[in-house]
Amino acid sequence: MQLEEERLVEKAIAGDSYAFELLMEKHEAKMYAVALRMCANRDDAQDCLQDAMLRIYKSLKSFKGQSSFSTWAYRITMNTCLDDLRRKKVRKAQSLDAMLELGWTPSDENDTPERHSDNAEMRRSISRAIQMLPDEMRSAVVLRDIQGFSYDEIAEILSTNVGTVKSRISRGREKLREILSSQPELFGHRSV
Amino acid sequence: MNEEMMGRDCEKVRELIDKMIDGEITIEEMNFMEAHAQKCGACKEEIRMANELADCLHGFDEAIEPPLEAKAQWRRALRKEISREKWNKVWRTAASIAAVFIVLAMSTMALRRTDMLNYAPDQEDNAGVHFAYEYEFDSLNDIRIAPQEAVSTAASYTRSNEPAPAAYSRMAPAEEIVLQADGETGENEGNGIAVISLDADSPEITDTEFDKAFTESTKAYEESYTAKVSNEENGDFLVRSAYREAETDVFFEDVKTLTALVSEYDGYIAEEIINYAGELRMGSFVISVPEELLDGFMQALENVGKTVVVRMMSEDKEAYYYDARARRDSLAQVAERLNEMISGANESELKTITQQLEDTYSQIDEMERILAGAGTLKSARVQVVLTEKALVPEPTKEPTLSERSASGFKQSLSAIGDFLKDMVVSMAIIAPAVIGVAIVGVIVSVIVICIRKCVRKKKIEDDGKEE
Repeated sequence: MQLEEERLVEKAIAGDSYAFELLMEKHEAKMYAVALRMCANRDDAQDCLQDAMLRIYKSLKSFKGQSSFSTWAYRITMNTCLDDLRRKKVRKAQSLDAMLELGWTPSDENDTPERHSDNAEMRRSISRAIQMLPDEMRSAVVLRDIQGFSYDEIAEILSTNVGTVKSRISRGREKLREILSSQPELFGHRSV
Repeated sequence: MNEEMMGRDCEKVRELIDKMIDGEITIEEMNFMEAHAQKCGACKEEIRMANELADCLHGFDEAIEPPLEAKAQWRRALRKEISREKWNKVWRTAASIAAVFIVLAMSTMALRRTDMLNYAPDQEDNAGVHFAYEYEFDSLNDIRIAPQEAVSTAASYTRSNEPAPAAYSRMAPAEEIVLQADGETGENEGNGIAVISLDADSPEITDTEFDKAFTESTKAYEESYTAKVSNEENGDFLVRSAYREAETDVFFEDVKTLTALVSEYDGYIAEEIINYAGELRMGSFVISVPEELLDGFMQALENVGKTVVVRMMSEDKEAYYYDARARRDSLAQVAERLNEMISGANESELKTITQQLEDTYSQIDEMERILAGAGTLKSARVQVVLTEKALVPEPTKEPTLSERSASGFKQSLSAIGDFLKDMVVSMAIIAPAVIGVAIVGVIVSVIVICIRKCVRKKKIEDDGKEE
């Protein structure tokens, strides 16, 4: 798998646009998911995905293989989303009603995670809470707790150091718990 | 357990929550947390929420797939970008070539104003003094500038800072100058006439140079080229031209041939006038030949000169009384004139004059012989006109549109060719400067890149400290 990706990367750098499409097909779902978590709505996520893909294509020649291709690609994706947020000055906290008015939905008709099939309301609350986090914390939490990147990978994606990443994740998690604790009906007391 | 210790334990539990979520907690730490949770309801709740949240977030987006529109959108954008890049490459290449060409062309135009592009070989054949043709020569004194037509009228202009009069323009091209070499002026002075080319580097023409060029000018040239008046800054109007005439000596060869022919046919030249008809020399000869030899003489005339006009004095080939005495007297005058010319003649002229003198004396002897024997000869009179080939080309007919177009096309090609040659030279001239600028540019770029890397590294470190 790794070898196949390396071959595709080489071909894409050499100018093979078909190889580039095949390469990005493997990452587009995750990239879209990250964009969706960072942006307020699906349209913005779509635009960020397009912009990220184009940036990756244009920057291919500058990829020197010092990190894995996916790490490099997600860094570009995250930067694209953060740039978009800065441009649009998206409010860190939005009311659920406002988000619904924007047509926001955290998932499409294909998103039926079996684990939470009976907890759609909880998913919406968590999504909303994630949106309420500051950009730096949100990016760290999404990459770690949702996407499962390692601390080193996150440090590389966010162009910072591991210490900073840990700090952001810790504060982000604490903030999430704070926000969600205000909805005890969703996160009710249970025994450990 | 007092409150202070409890507080510290709560703090420690909060710190261990992240390790627990990340799966990095040790068994001892886990046991500590569980033990504390038994005592502290808040921490117990915190631990529970953290675990639940972590469970929720893990794989939260696993099932998310981009909608078809999102997938299509970036692919469309990619194809557009690829197409745009291809066209950009073409335009960039064209723009680069155009930019280089423009820079070179501008450099060439700028350098053309200086002498740096002067790669033309020295035109040694233009240096010094050249004579186009000679007529007669008395002596080398002043060199005067005189218009061609002024030779016969004896007008002359001293070489000075005055510009050449516009009258010279009648000889195409407009700036050609004819110098009259001799201090003597006036009609029938027998002055030498020559067109002299002066090189700007040798404004002073010494007698030696003049004489040398005079000797060399016996060759016939067939080229002519335009003059340029140079050195305007100093106020000197030097002529830089060479005006070369074709077959300058042919006229006198023709005269010699005619004279010999007349003698061969026992005739004599009753009248001889050589003058200028405009720029050309023309000789008009009235010749008497014995009537019985007329046909042979007329046929032989066809071999004389390039331009011969022959006409009978009268259509009626009536014989005229042949006056040997008158003829002898006329010949004596010719001999006298030839003797006068000997004194001022150089080696080659001397030869010609001597030959002519011999012919003349020979004819005088013949007349004396006739006079001694008395009697008359019947003769025919023929007027022969010898003309010189035109000094300048006769006006040609108006060129046709295609001839003008072809000529214009050739001139354009020639001009473009000259400009391209100049561009190659200017490229060589500016190449060192361009290389220098490129090296400086590379050094500056390296410095800038290093500075940016350092700044970025510092920024990352600062971000870490802030967090």
